[in-house]
Amino acid sequence: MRIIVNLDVVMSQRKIKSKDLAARIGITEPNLSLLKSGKVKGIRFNTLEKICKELECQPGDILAYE
Amino acid sequence: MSVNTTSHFLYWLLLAPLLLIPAMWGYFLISIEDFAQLAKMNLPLAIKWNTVASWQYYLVWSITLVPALIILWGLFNLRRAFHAFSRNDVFNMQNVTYIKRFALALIAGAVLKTCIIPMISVVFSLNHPPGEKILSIQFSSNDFAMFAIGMVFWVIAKILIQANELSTENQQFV
Repeated sequence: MRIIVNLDVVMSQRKIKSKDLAARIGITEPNLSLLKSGKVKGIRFNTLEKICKELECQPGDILAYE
Repeated sequence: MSVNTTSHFLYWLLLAPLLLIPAMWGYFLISIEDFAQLAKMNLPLAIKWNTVASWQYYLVWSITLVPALIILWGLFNLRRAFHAFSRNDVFNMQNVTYIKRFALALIAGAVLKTCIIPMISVVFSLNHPPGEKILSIQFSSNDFAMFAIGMVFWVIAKILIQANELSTENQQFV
C-alpha cells in the first residue's frame, strides 16, 4: 500500500512539458522530476494547488492510494 | 541586519583576536620583562618578586599559553562557522562541529584557567624559603561566565542538529 503519483499521466493528457510546468508552478525541473517519480517525502499544499490550477485537475487525479 | 551580514561582520571581527593573541604572546616571549611586569601587576599573590628567576617567568608564560591556544582554536572554529553562515550555508553538520568545538574550547579554557592560578603560585614561589611557598586557589566570576557561555554554545550546537534534521526533511518536500 502506497501513494502513487500520476502526475506524468495528467501531464501527457494535457500535453504539457516538465520544463513548462515547473516554470509555471515555480519549482525546479529536477524537483518536478522527483515528484513525478514519487521520490519525495511530501508535497506542499501550495505546490499541489498550483499544479491543479495549471493542469485544471483535482488532487485525486494526481495522487492515488493503492 | 540579516544573518549573512552579521555573520560576515563577525567573521572579520574574529580575525582581530586570532591575530592579536598570538602577537601578544609572541611579544611577551621576546620581552619577558614586560610579561614579568604584567604578572606583578595582575597577580594578587604574596610573591617575593626578587626571588623569581627568569626561567620561572618563561615557565609561567608556557603554562598560560595552553588555555590561550585552546581559546584560539575555539575562536578559529567559530570564525569558520560564521564564514559558512555568511554564505547562507547554515544547516549542515560541519557547522555543528564548529560550534561544538568553540563550546568545548570555552569550557576547557574556563577549567584550565582555574587550574592555572595554583600552578602559577607554586612556580613563582619555588624560591621562597621553606614554609613560605604558596599554593593559591581562586575562582573568578569571569571563569564561571566563560564556562556558562561554553555550555550555552553546546546547547545551541545540539539545537542546530535538530534544525539540520528539520531542514533535511523540508528539502524532501516539493
